[in-house]
Amino acid sequence: MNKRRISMTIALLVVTSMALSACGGTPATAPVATSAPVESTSAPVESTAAPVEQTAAPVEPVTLTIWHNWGPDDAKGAPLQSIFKDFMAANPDIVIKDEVYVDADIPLKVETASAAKQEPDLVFVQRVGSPQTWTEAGIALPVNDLIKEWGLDGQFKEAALKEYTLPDGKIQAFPLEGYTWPIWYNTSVFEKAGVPIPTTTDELIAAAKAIRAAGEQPIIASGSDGMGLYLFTLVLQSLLPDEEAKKCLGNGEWTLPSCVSAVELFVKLRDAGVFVDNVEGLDFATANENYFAGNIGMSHFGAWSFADPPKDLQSKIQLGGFPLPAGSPHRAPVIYSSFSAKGVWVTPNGGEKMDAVKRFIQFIYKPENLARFVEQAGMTPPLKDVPIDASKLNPLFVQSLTMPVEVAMTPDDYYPPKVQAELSTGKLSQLAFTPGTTADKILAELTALYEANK
Amino acid sequence: MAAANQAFPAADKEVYSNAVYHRRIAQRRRVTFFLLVFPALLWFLAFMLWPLLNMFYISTTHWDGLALPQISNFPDNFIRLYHDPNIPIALRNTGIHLFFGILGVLPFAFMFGFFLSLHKPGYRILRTIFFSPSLISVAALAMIFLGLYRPAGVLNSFLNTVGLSSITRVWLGNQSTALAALIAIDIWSGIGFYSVLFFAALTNIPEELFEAAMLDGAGYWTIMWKIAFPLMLDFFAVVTILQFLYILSGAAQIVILLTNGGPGTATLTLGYYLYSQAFLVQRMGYSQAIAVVLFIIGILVILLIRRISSRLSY
Repeated sequence: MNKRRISMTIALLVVTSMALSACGGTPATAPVATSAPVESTSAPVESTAAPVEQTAAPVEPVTLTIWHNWGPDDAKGAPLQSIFKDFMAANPDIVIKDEVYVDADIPLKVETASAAKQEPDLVFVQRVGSPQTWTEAGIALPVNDLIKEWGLDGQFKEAALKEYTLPDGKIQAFPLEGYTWPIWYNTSVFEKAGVPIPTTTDELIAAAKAIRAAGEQPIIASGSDGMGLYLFTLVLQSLLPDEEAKKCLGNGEWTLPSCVSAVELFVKLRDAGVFVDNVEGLDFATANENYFAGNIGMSHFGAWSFADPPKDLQSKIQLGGFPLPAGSPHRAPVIYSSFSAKGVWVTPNGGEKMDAVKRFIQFIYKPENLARFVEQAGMTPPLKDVPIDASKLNPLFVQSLTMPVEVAMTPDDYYPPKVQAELSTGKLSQLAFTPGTTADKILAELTALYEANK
Repeated sequence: MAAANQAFPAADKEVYSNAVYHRRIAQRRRVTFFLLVFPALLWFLAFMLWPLLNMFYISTTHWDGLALPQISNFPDNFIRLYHDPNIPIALRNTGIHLFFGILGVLPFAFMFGFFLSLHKPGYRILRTIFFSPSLISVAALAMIFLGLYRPAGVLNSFLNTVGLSSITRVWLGNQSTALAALIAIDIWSGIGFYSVLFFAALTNIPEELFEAAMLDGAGYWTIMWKIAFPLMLDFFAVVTILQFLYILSGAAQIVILLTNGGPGTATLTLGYYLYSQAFLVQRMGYSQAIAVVLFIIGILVILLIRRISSRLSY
């Protein structure tokens, strides 16, 4: 009996151990790491044997994995690839393995990969949403010391560094892409309608009526997604000073008279028909496609779209700000401008290959290399001095440098992160752009959204 | 030993040894059974029960992202759930979705399934057509209906053509039509799938029953609802549970792809809210508190469906 019990127990243990070993764990014959540190291959070997001619073992190239969203369809894709190519030619001991993902997907991919300690070495991603928590969470390394040690101190524009600096002084990432986000006026549509480019909201309403009467459509926006939200907030901010805007968009104090008036202004403009028909159903891609067809008066696209319009339309576009309502605290039509579009984040895995990261960062931030993005894609550079061949510049980028506008604070700078995450889905902007939605309804939805995310 | 033999008469000894033998056989069977079941049990514990228990555990924590620490905060997530103004909206929308998503699919699917089971000419082609929506991936399905519902899409173009321009709208962008538009997608894709399931189940009912009823003068409608349906009640309950569970959790896919719960909160369902709290807002602990609510609702409704079907069954 006892023998049988013992044998059964052993059998059970065997089955259990088999099952558990099948579940995972390190196999007893785990292979030795193939990517041995470079230093070890060139370590001096003490030998008592007769001197022999030693051939140095070939050094394994270091692979830098970079995740970004500048694929072949992006104007910045070609300059980025040319930089990768030139960097690898100049640094044959480093191989760049870049992977292109949708911008919005990158943060979660990085976070899950980071949990498994398999994150890329460098991440090019916007400073919007969860990346702002990466430094605190240990997903990204602060770059204060790196900027100093790698000779970049004093080269970045102060505004760019300020945006990436946390309250505790840590700099989250190397700022890379700046942008302006103006209103695009198609002058041919205005000429057809016989109205000037508006600088006040009253003129905007009159222009919208005239444009509609001429058989065209006024402002196109991506009302159904998160991009439309920025036009919604820009309209609000045309009536609000930055401090008041912060109370509404940052603190969710939507019952303040200034916040209520701003939402009422948006509803007034919407009901006056300043947006295209069915704007609440358009996404960013559809809005782009429709605007570039040439029959729409205005749009709200960022500098990232400067290279997109067809040549014949490009010459007809006049960039400017959003017209001002009566009582606006601003002196000129407003736009957004920021450096949040792209930063280069160094991860702990990147920290393990700091020499390669250092050489890459020093290479991409050479002014002449950043100039490639400026010349080919109209990107606002993060460095103070970038030598640019003016003849190569995108005409819209050139225009954007001299727009008679005032920059409103980008809401990304004061949205609570969780509110921003929900707003980025576009459900609020879609509600706001839908005809018939009252200011009270929008305010109630906003209040509930901020309440739910306190 | 001899004393022991003397203590048991021969007949008793035979009974004793039989009892011991049977006990040993039974014990051996138990052990064999346990050994055979053990791997499956281990699998179940590790990959089914453990994640489920984890759901309950995470719901008692504050956890703002995979890389951030989990801090126990029970019962904060459940208090938040109670006060969250989105929860009543999500419950209402989920209720509407369930009501129309079940009633709009199953009775019609049953009727189509019954029709197929009559083996009328062309039923094979119809069966294939009915089932084809199930072969379309959710992303492709979303694209099809995006094309249908968009401002210049098929539906609005059709309405314009037939002179009903006044009722055209952005179906997914309008608060009054967005949820209905999503439910319509589930109805369209669900009817065919369940028709084929019902057809398969109906083929198990002896045809003589239907023939006898027809000889007694019963029409198809009577046979379908008075004979076939009662015989199918258990299966109907299973299908109802499947559709209920799909809408409760799975239907969030189409919300994610088409409306993100909007406009406003028009299509905010519990399933989508769970997703958004977990993956958009990165409020993992709270999302699992919502998952617990979904789990409890799921269990209660499944029990209710089973109770109703067992009462109605013959």
